[in-house]
Amino acid sequence: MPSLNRKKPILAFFCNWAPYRCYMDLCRSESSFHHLIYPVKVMCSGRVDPAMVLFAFEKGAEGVMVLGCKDKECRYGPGPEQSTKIAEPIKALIHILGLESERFRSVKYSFNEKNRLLEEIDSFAKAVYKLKKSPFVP
Amino acid sequence: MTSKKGILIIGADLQGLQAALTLARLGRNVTLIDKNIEIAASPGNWSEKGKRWNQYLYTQVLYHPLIELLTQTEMTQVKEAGGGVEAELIQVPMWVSPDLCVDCGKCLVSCPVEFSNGYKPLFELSCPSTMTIDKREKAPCRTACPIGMNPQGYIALIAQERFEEAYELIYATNPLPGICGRVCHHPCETACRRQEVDEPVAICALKRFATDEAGKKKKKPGTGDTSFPEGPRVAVIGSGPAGLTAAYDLTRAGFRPTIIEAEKKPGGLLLHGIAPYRLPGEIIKKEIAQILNAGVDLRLNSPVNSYKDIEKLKAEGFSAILLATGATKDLRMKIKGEDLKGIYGCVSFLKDLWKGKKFKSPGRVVVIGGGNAAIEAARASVRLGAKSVIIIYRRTRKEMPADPHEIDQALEEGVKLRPLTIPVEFEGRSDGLAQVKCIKMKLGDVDASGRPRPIPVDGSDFFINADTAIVSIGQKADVSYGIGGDLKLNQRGTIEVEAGGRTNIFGVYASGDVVSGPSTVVEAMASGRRAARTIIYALKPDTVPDGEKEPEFSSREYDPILKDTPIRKRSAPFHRKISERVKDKNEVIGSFTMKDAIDEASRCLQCGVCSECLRCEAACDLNAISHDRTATKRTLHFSKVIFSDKVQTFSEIDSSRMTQIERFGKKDSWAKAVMAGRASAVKALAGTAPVTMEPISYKRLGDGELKIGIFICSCNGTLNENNRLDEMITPLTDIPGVAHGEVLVSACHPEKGRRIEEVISEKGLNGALIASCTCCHLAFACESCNDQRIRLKHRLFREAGYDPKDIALVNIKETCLLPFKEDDKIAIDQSMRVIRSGLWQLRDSKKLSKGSEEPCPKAIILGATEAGISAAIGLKEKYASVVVVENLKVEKRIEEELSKFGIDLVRPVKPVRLGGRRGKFTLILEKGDSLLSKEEKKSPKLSLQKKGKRLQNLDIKTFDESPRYKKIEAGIIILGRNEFKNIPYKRDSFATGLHAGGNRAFGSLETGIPGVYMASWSQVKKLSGQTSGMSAAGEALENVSGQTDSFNSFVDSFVAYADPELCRGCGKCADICPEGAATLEETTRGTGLSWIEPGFCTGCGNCISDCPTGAISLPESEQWYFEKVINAFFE
Repeated sequence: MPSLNRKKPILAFFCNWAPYRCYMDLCRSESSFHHLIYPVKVMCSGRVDPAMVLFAFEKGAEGVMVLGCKDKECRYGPGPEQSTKIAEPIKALIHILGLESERFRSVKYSFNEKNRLLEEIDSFAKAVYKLKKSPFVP
Repeated sequence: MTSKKGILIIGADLQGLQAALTLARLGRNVTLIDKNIEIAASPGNWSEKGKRWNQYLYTQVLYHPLIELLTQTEMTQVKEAGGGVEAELIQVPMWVSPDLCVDCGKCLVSCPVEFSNGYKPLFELSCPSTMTIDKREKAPCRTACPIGMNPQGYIALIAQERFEEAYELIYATNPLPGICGRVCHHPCETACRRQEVDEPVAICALKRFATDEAGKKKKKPGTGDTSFPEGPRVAVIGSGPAGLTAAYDLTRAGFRPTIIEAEKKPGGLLLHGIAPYRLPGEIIKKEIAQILNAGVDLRLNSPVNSYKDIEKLKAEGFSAILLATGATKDLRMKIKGEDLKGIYGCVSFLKDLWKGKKFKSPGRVVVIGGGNAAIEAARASVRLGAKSVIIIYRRTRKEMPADPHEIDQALEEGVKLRPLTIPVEFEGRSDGLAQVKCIKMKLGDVDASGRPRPIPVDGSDFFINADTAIVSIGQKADVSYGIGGDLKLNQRGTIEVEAGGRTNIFGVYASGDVVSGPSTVVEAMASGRRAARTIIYALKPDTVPDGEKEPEFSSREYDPILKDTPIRKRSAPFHRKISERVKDKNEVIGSFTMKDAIDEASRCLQCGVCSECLRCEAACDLNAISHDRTATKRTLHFSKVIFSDKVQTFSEIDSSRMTQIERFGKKDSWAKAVMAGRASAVKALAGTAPVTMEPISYKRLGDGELKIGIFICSCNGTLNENNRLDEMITPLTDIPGVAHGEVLVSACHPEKGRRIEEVISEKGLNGALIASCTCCHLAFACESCNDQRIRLKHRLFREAGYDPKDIALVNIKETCLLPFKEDDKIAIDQSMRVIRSGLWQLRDSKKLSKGSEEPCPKAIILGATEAGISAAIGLKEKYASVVVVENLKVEKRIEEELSKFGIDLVRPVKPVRLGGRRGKFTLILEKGDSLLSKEEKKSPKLSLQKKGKRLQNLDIKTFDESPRYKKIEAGIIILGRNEFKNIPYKRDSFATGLHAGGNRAFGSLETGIPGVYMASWSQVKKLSGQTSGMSAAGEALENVSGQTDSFNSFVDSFVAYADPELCRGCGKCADICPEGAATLEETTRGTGLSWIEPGFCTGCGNCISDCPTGAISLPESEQWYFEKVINAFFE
């Protein structure tokens, strides 16, 4: 296996709908995008619970993002509210476990916001790179 | 009377898309047309959600096999025919075929045209996701060129430094480019629109530049095939531009021409008339050699003097004779003294001179005439060492037909011009000319040639001393060979031809100056080309396209020239110093420097936008692009027409065949638009019958030990630079269970993609993972989906019939390969991780089994309201049994209406209890007193007790035992009145109530219980009961037809299940579940147990994130699954 370079992998949970569309548009566009994003698709951002996030850190993610739809735009209904509800406990949890809370972000998108997504990923990645390597290294 | 013809929907806006989907799901063939280039070019009024829904509907429409979507199409005619409607649809030429385009971008890279704002004529659309070409009317330079050259095209290539490609494009229409690039009179430049800004583009000089550049490379473009054609033999008499062009065109049609030339060397006036310092002999030699190489024989020193010579040629076996002998006989002035020594005819003077005849110094020279020939004679005289050279011309310089640039050069070289002068007599002595008696002229009115008539001024005689006079007033053709055959001539003494070059003698054609009189090089070439085409058509008619009438289609106009276009000076190529150039015969004008050529080429406005340079056609090796396509006319038969895009009335067809979807204004909600679309779809159903559609049933690929094939799409090679994808095959096939690994040319291409099916079948694989742009194997298409992805899924799951559980589709194009174009290592690394996580998905899904059920074929409407009745009528289309129940009084007319449609009315009954799920509802009705016998009235009314927040669980069976109650089953329930939503459902009241803008209410009338719909929706204003009732019926029918895209992926398998062993009855799942699928059942111990109703579960997984014990399982959503997927990334 070719080894990773010094860039730090970010695991991003994309809900299948608006955020994933933004991500597809972003990857196809000419914008420069050089962060190692491991995309994991979920049907709804409300599915993402602390167990999954912790597992990602445990395996070596330097940062974890949860990307969902906006509050009134979830086609199932509860997703965005659920993910907001879970975000704070997750941050608190990883803080207790010794990780900086900057390593986790839960954000919301409409289907046509690829530029905002790019900014978000860029700023998140930069924040993560500033930190030391995660102590959870496998 | 029903018919199986399809339905036409005009306008693919939100309403139109929805109407198309509804109809298709109900089994009707739909043709959806839209005049725009793109769908989901949202009307601009909708909210973000509306726009998003537009996009989502579009992907659904693409995925549905019964819908044919035609963009850029308009209905031009419609009439009644055969029990329906016959419509003529005209589609703008689709130069890029959306069905074949894989969106690889190879064509984009090859397109040379780019405007200053970055716009290119070849660009990507998103709906449909294909490339498209913006092509306008042909640029004026192209239409002005007699031989049909494409200056816009080759100039675009020159501006990009693609000189060889420019030359190829030039040579495609011009076999003498080096010649034309030096001496053409460039009508293209006269027509060039750039002059509206500053000056025309220097097209002629650029053509020369490109030809010279390409000539620097040794290879000979334009002559690929070295074998000579077999074809019919044609004799071309004359090797001037007309004859050469005709011969070349003939070889390309497979003919075998022979050029028969009277002189020692070929070239005609190109060689013998035009000066070598304008057109070097090597250029002529080289270009003629290229033409001969294409398969043309040449006979020199073979004049055709009499008709007998022509007959001899016929006897030799030539199937056609083309006379292209030109007009090289000088016209005489017919004035006194013309026979004096020292007076020459222009052409004969030049011919002798360029053949090498030595001339003594001509002394004082007078040239009579104003055309290019006169200028040639004048400049030649300068080089012969004349003491003075004067050109006398009867009008002014402005009217001289010679090229202004030539006149300038002559004047620079010391030639003098005497306008408004003609000679009346030549005076001389025995040793030759001494002086020319002239008279001054003045300009009168405009004559037939469009120029002012020259009128002699009386008494203005004067003399010019001269030793030499060259009469250059014109030429005529020598057609003495025609006499013996009665070759018909016209008044001017040239050969009379029909358009296309046919003479009056069978098998004999004519072209060039011998037909038109003295003309220009390019016009002679055009004439030769026309004659060749006539000959080709006469002898090989099947090679020439029929010219069948194409459907009328007017191209888009040019863009207007912007007022602020900066003025740029026209570049000029190098001109040699006057004092030097008159001393020799070397070329006076050089070629552009490369920088100047590129600068000059970038001045071109690219009027036609797409230049038809055909680079994209060459670049697309999947044959998706063809610039030859014309507008397509389809004449199709439909049973109904639905209009969406604008209010139209067609008097030609009966109003029963038309439906207009309600118009919506800026202030109306998009949800209304969707409902209106549905309603008109259902309205249009009357009188049409569904096509037989099989419910989707997949064939599994077999169980047991895994034999997976991994296919990696290279997107027509564009993702496989440096063959980086090939490196993945070995490590992947090393994984246990993986039996095959391969890099594909294209996964979605209709033909090339079939490699997948081939390999699966050949190798007996029982699973496949396709790593491409398609990102899921779910049955629906979400917002990220596009044509290519849907095409692949369609082929795999509908045509080939694979079960999605046996195929995993992962996206590596966008997530791994595109972002890391420069860094192969990371791209491949990332792709391997994604593929490995996809393998987990495949291993998991293969274990699932499938089940499906037939929905109950009955629909019940609660409440005989206007909306309810409307819904009932709409449902009767599909449901054999539709029942309306009502506890209140019902008007007689309503009763009659219902019985007219065959709808049962049951009254007076009150619905008291609802159980079951979509497709399998159980409704309990309490009979009104009028329906009960005396005995039956004795049985008690059962009531439901409330216990805390929940109603006591009364078993359905209890109702069975009482005669007061009747139980009916139904697939669909429609609530005619809001009060009915309070009917207790199963164990609880309606868990989430009516959704208005929540969950699935994107224009949805479905309540919190899937399968139960509201017939009216008071929150949406201005929607009549009738329309909303119809809309409810439409939605209901859509969702049970079996063809739906439910948010569930696999039929019935992608649902959550709560393991009772693990559930601790906290009820969190029930709290969060939006569909009311998860509910808390009371156990005998008084605790609760979660029950998730499979029919309602949409697979969102929100219940799992709250579940404290991990009791809930859901395919592709469980903790262990994510752990495996995440782990695969970090291995």
